[in-house]
Amino acid sequence: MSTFSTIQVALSGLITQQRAIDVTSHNVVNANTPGYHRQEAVLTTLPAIPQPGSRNGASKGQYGTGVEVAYVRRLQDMYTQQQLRATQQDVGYWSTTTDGLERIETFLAPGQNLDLSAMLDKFFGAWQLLATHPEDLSSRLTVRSAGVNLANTLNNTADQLNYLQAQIASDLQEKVDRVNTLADSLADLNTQIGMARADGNSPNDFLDKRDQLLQELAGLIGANELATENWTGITSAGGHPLVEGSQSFHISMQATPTGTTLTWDDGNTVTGIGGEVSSLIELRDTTIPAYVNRLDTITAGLASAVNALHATGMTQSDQPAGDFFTGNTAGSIHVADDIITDASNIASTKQAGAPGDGSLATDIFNLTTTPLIGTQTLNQAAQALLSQVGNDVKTAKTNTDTQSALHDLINTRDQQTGGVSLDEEMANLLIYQRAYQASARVLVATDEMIQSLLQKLG
Amino acid sequence: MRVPDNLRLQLMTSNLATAAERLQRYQIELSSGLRIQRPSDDPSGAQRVSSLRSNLSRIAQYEATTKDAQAWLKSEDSALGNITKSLRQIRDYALQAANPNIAGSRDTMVTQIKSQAGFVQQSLNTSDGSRYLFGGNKTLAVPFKGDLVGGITYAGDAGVRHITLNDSVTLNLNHSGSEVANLGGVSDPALPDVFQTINDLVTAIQTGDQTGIAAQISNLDQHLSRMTNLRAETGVRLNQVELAADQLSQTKLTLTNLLNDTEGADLTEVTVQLKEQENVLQAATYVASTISQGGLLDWLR
Repeated sequence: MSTFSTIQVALSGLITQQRAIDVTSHNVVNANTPGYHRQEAVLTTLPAIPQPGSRNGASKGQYGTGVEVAYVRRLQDMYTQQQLRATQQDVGYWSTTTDGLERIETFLAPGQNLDLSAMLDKFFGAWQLLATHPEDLSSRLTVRSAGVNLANTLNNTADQLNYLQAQIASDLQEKVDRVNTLADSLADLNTQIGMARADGNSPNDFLDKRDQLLQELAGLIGANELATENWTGITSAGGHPLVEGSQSFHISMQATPTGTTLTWDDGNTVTGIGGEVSSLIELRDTTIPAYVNRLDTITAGLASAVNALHATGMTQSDQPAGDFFTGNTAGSIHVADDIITDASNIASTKQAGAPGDGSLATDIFNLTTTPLIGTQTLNQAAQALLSQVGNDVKTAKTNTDTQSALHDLINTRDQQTGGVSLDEEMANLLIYQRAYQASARVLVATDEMIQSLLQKLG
Repeated sequence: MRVPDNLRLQLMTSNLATAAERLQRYQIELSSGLRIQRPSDDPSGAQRVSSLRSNLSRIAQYEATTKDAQAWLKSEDSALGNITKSLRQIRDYALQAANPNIAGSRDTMVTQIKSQAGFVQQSLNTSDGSRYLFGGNKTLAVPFKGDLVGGITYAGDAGVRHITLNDSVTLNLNHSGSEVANLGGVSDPALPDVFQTINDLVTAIQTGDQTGIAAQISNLDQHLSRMTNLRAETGVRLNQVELAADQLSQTKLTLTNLLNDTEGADLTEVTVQLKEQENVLQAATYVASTISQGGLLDWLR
């Protein structure tokens, strides 16, 4: 062991502590970087050398040669990352579903006295008024305006639902585009990670970036990471690889009025997806059509029952009356043109020349208590629709809350392991700084030793 | 346990947001007085509210109908009262005419009788402003046209006006002119109609036919007793309508209370919760203001 080798040992200390400070400062500046996990310089001793002995060639022992950074460790665990992806997928699905359902809820229940049930009440209430005052044009005007309001309410609700459906289709296209972009980015990252690993480096920042992209992908469509032997990641959505090593596969969307299909480049259908995309597809293809369908059923029941009675009646000018409504879907129902032109075409009686007879109006009013939609009256069906959307929203909200809470919990765990604590980094900085100073002191001491030796000899 | 700075901030932010959201919820509840803002707040409650509103709206409609029916029945009763009065007068004149000693003023009597007959016709043409009460279903045309001399024709029909008092009870509201005047013997086949009776009486008085006068006095008695029956019937109907109106306002009260219980916010409870939540938010805000203090960094100078 030479005097000069002490300088080498001290030097390794200076260099290593400086590297450790580099890592610390990287942590500090990235404290707020999304997806960043703190890193740690793992220090290790340099290989020791044996000191040859004076007798029998036996070694007197080993002398250390200093310190080095073995590798830079990223503080995270794969299992937490996997859980984060799984919960992100559910959060994506449920929050998108909640959002969509809440909008549907606003359309169906725009406020007190504005919903379908209230409009039905007003419409049939107007017929009761006509039954009491069949002679008056004013009660006919009331029936007509209540009919127009009812039809408008149905039209508006159907229009808004259809608009939402169209809106969702374009949202969906955006999400699918984003999925494809993410797939490309992941393939790129995989290439870089593979190259770095081939050089024997630990590409911590790339890995963080990939975990982050994977989590976004999971929220969008669902994703999983499978580690393979050569450390190149394979991520998959719905069973089929979306990214395989440095190759990415694209998804394309076909939206027809009846349904949405996602296909891979090779023409196979994408199956088993989750997250926002699957929620949007469900809203567009299943949920909204189901609500429109229920509205249509109510509308058809209303139009056919009212028309069937009304067409047996006589107008105020003793002509056979026509239909009250035209159209039998929520989107197309209108008060008949001849009634819009002239309210006296509304019939209150079946007899000619009996202006005081309101029996037909009474019959139409009595439709409020007639089961027209299966075993339900129109009003009950409208109320059941309200309760249905209320329940759907409530369920979706509860699930969103649960999944968000779970996701937050796992995120907390991830942060506890990998989050940057400035106190901790400051403490580490102190430690490394002191170690650096001490190494420098050793260097100075050695230098002084050599100097005093040289002076005595000189 | 490690507590990284970011985590503290994240938890603090999410707690603040939750506290603010709850506070807003109570504020809306309190300021609107409603527990249920949207169906998802309480789906089954929302359905109940909607159904209660629907029932209340029906009741409001029924109430309007009963008011209208009451007015109609009262007008009809007073018209029938006037007819009775006139018929009594005519009967009095007939009794006088039946007395052979008072023979001088037959012409005056005939004139008086004819004028009372005019009152009867007028009463039968009673209108409530827009509708003729005794026209059957032909309520828009004057029902009794012509005069006693030239013959009175009925332009109405025997139509019955049904009104719906509540979900189960319907009522025949009117008496048609033909029923009141016994036209064509619709209510008593053996009895000539009111105007025929009066006409026959006038003829009998003019010709001094004592038997004829006596016969018509008996007919007038029968008409008067029919009027009494009709008025009794109208009275019963009015009772029925008033009873229905009472029941409706009773039901309305019950349903309104039920509606308030279902959708109304419990103000005391919500106020307490609001106050509590305000404290929580204040505490959370305080914590947020202290969160960045006291790091190691502050001591390393």
